Amino acid sequence: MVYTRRILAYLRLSKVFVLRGLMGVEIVELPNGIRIVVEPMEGAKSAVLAMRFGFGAKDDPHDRLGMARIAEDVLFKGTPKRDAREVFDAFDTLGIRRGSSTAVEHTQFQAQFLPEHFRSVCELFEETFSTASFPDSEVEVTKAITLEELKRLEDSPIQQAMLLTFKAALGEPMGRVPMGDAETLELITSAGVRRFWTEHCRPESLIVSVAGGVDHQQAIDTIQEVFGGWASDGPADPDDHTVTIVDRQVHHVKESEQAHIGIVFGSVARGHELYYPAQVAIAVLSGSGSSRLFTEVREKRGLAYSVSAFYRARRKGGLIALYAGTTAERAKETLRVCRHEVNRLAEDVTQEELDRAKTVLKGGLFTSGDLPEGRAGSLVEDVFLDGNTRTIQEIANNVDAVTLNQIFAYLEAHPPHPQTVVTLGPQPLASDA
Amino acid sequence: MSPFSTHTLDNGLSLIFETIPRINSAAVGFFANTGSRDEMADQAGVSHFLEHMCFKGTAKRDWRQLSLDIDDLGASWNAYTWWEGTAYYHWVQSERATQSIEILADMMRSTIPSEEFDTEKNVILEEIAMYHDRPDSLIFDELIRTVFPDHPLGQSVLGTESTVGALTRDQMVDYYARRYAPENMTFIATGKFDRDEIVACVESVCGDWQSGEAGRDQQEPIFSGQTHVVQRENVTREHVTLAFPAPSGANADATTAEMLSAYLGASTNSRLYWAVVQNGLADEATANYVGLSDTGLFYIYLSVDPTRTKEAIDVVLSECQALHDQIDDEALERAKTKAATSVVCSGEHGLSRFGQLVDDVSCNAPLRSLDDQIDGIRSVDTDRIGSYLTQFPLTQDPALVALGPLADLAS
Repeated sequence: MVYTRRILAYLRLSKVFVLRGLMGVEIVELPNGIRIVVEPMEGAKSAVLAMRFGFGAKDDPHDRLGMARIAEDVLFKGTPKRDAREVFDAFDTLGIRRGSSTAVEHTQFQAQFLPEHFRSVCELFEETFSTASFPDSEVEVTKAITLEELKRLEDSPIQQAMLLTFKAALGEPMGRVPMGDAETLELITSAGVRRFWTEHCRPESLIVSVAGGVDHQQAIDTIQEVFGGWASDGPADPDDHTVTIVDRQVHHVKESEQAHIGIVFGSVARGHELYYPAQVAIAVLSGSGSSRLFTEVREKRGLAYSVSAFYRARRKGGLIALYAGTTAERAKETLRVCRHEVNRLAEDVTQEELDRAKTVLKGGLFTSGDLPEGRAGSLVEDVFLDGNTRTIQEIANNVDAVTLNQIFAYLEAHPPHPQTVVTLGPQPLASDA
Repeated sequence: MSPFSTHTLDNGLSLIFETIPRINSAAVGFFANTGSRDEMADQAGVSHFLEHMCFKGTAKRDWRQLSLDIDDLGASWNAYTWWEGTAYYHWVQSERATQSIEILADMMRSTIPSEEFDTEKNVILEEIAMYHDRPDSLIFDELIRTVFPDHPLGQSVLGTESTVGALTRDQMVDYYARRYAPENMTFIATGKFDRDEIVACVESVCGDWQSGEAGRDQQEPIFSGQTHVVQRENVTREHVTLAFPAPSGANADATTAEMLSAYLGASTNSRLYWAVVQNGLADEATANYVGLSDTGLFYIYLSVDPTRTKEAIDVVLSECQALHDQIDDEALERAKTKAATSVVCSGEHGLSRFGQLVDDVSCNAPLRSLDDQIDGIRSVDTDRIGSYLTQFPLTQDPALVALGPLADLAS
């Protein structure tokens, strides 16, 4: 099905819609539904291309978990024109730093390269997206490697604890582990992967962003020339799942040195009016040396080396996750202090903390946020989450505008309950901690 | 035109500046030429513990005030300690660089508050415990110990529960006074800044640091190619490293070693990727080079199914042997092009340039600009690799360290 898209191609190139021009970075929509955002950065010597499809582990057939991630990997293992090595060589010859990942709600491909290679990069991705052959043998190899990676996860308890926490908190399908599991991987076939890819690789589901040393119009023209030929399949699937968190506490026994604690509770989505107050509230809690968790858990009590809370966006919601790692005998106290800090937030955030949290958030925007990879990633996420984009300056202004009253309004409307607590370690913690 | 300039204060503190066009931020910080190799064996971990204590209080600020003042700048900050040194940095908007420097300089003269010492010791013990749960990190401690058994370079950066547990504040104060002398430290600024303003600022906040004797008088570390198996039954995979001798970071062939490691074991599309990972033998098989001031290591890391460990090691060894027989020109060119792109990308990133300069200074290597790095990469060819392999063969017995469920590597 994907093959024919290219033939219908060039008839449709003329109409390009600018969806947004007043605010943020312009989003251009091609007639076939691909959305494009370009942010040229003056003087940048490299460029980053990020491409995000709106399918992921949530779309895995329930008895074939791991499918989306297998597809993402085997995609580069051959086309009618090139075998696996030749595909890799083609990218490497241009010096492209390529990466890809499968999450629950999306699959993303990213590349950083010298701007003169922009068209070739687009063409290589287009070739793999639209003609990947998913050879039998390569699907089997990738399944075997994924099984190995699942075992490796046992040796990375921090990552393991967080995956188990999301799974326990969000359930099916939003809490899925993109790697799948041993039983379901076994059932995946190359025919199945090919079918999955053909069904999901659709222009309506693709968002492309480019940041760095490129010209705005040239970049859009190039993407249009390369990807404009994909035929539209009709509107994107409206399969957005909401975020519903379960109130529960789970312990997994593991002969580890530390107890690994994961906590998840709900927050607001990107487009929500209280999104920025939520971000500032989380920054009061974690993310800097003076934040509450770092101060109370590490600096004052020396309970943990690693303790942090972070926000994760989903299309129809948001959540806050917390991680702490501590030796078993101090785990109960660590959990108590973490929960106390989470609960206390609604009572006594001060103006001084609010101001400092804003400074920290804005500081990150103008350092790591101001790199081509940082901008390409943010833009593609912006469009994916709420169809809107924001410049760094707009984000900074939104952060600045947050008031103490808004923080309390957010915390009252979105308390840290229901809450999932997962522990991984030698002993269970008492549930009344 | 060189992007670098330098300056030295009367007390011996060196200053290095690299201006990076385009970016609007600056990475500023201090490198102290002291790390785990400068520690007495029974005080292993003192450099890293001290790095933590530098955040715990000064004559002007207690720990709380330090964190408040740092966060009021919106700085991205951190510090790290390794075998050869300790570095502290802030990455900030350019107009706040001098405020960052004032705080960092204050931290470099910590009072090591005694009332915070034991609390922070617990944090370090938690950090040690955390690494115990990460066999893919822990194995590098085992590797360096195996490779340099009779040299302080073989000591663990974090130290052990017993060395850190027994460490006293007096011991740390003594180490600090000796090792953080201005002659043994370097101030580094990369990005966008007003050089004169920064020099004046560093002069005003560091000018009164007392000179002292530091230095490092050590015998050259001798590589030991032994096999060492650490059995840990609660580990699922067998984590394996193989290491070979390699040139120091200041050696002209450091870049040759880097390119050879990419050719052999970059994480994708390398010899090991196709021969080991894509054959389902390991979920990771990577090669790396690390350059130190007086030696270097070329090493391979594997994460394998324990039952197939020997098979995987044999494939790695035959791939190493194959490098001596033939280097594919085109594959080498691809590795070079990729490396050159990475260098260009790092040039947009103030913090990654800061890290590169810390590396250069710690190895006593000449400062390398982006152009120098790219020229270095371009100069590596098959002849260069051939002569490298004559000098540093990958065919002699490597140091072999395994950590995981296996008791030995016999089958």
